[in-house]
Amino acid sequence: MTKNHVKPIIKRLRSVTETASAAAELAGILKAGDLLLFTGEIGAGKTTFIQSLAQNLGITEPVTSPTFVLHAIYESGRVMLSHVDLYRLSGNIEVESFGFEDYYDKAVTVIEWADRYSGFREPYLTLHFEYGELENERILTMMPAGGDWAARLCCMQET
Amino acid sequence: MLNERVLLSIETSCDETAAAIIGEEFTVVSSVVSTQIPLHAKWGGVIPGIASRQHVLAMNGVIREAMESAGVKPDDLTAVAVTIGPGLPGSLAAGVSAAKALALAWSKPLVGVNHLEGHLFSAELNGEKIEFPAVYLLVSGGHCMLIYAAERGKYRLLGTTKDDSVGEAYDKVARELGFEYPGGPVIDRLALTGKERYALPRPMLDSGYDFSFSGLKSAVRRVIDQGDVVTEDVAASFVAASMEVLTTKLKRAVAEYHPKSAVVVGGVSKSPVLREQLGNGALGATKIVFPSLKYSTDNAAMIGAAGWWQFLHNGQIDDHVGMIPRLSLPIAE
Repeated sequence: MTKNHVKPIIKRLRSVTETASAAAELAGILKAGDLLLFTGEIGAGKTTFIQSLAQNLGITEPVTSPTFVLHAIYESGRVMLSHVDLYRLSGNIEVESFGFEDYYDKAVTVIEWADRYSGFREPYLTLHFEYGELENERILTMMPAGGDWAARLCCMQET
Repeated sequence: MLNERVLLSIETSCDETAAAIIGEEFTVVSSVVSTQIPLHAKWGGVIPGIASRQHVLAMNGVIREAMESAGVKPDDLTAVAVTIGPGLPGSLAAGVSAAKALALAWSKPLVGVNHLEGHLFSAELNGEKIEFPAVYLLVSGGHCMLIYAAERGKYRLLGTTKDDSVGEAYDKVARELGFEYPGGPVIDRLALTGKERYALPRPMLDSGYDFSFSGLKSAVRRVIDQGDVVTEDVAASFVAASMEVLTTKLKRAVAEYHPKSAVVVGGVSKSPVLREQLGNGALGATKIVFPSLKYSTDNAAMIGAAGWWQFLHNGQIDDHVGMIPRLSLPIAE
């Protein structure tokens, strides 16, 4: 069986408002069991996007950077959000003992610095953030990997 | 011979496995910290699975050392206190399980302690008494908050970070400049010889008591991306921006609330730059209090002091104590 050629979706986010719109659009299609892998250097916008995602999922508690706490669970939204940050880890890590995999089925799992670990299994959606030309501009590249991600993203526009 | 009652306190909320014997007057009879930094430097950071396993491995040695160096036997203890949150669930579980087992075996009351409250008590160890009302600035890798306490134990959260803590920003800037974890102290050291060459934002400087460091973090990244940067100058510029935010907001709180004391606690309170900028007289009539350096970072002594407070005034004194990874500071109405 040949693998379908998967096209990434690229969004140029020129402002906080455009970032929020993109997050709102994505939040609308998320459900428990989804795994989203966030990559991009510091300050590129991973946590900011996730804060907006959380808001659009109806989460009322403030979402802050989980770099030190490593893992935070939010249950006030329409679906549980499991927010993981692998920044402080390097090399091969014992993901089983970390425990966030326990939440895969019941939550939308978002993993910042996902490139710190090479063992994620499809299906997942990768979101890569880069700095744009202007100060507030960011380039978001979304790449579906496996499952029905490509179909679910088909309606998201490039900008 | 100590005339105070003593308790055993245990702290395992993050990297450190710590135990202490603390007197009712907050005397530190012993304080042991099994620093895990050497292990984690090898891995580049905290690995929670390994962290909790390391806590389990280190636990008995740390407790035994705390009790033996204090010359204390189980019968001498009035209670056992343990950090129940906030922190990493696996790490917290190691300490809470040990504390529950000991309290059960020794038939002692068990007190669950809030790690954040522990930091607030860290400045009062060994006889330092804070006068109230007080404003606290709690700054660490995981926390950045301003708290008002009209009296001891009654807290009002004035502000907290919307994204990154200042300690986290320090560590990230250090890593961007190529330094190993933990990089905070390196940045402070470099800043001493650097110049404020690069213009960096002071996020949320002019408004209120909340903090935001992610904008400062991305500004530093952009500066580094331009290439050809002077490392000491990046450090100096970053430190100047962070310190301005911290000191301005603390001064604002002091001006509004007129506390008798301003207490700066948490790992970042070790910063010699911060201690110098908030030196004697920096806040007028308000007395500035810092904990001893060794009680600024995570330790069980501060947990013991907060534990005594809980035990004598209130307390979660029951053996149904469990871990609460997202525990927040109790706010007075």
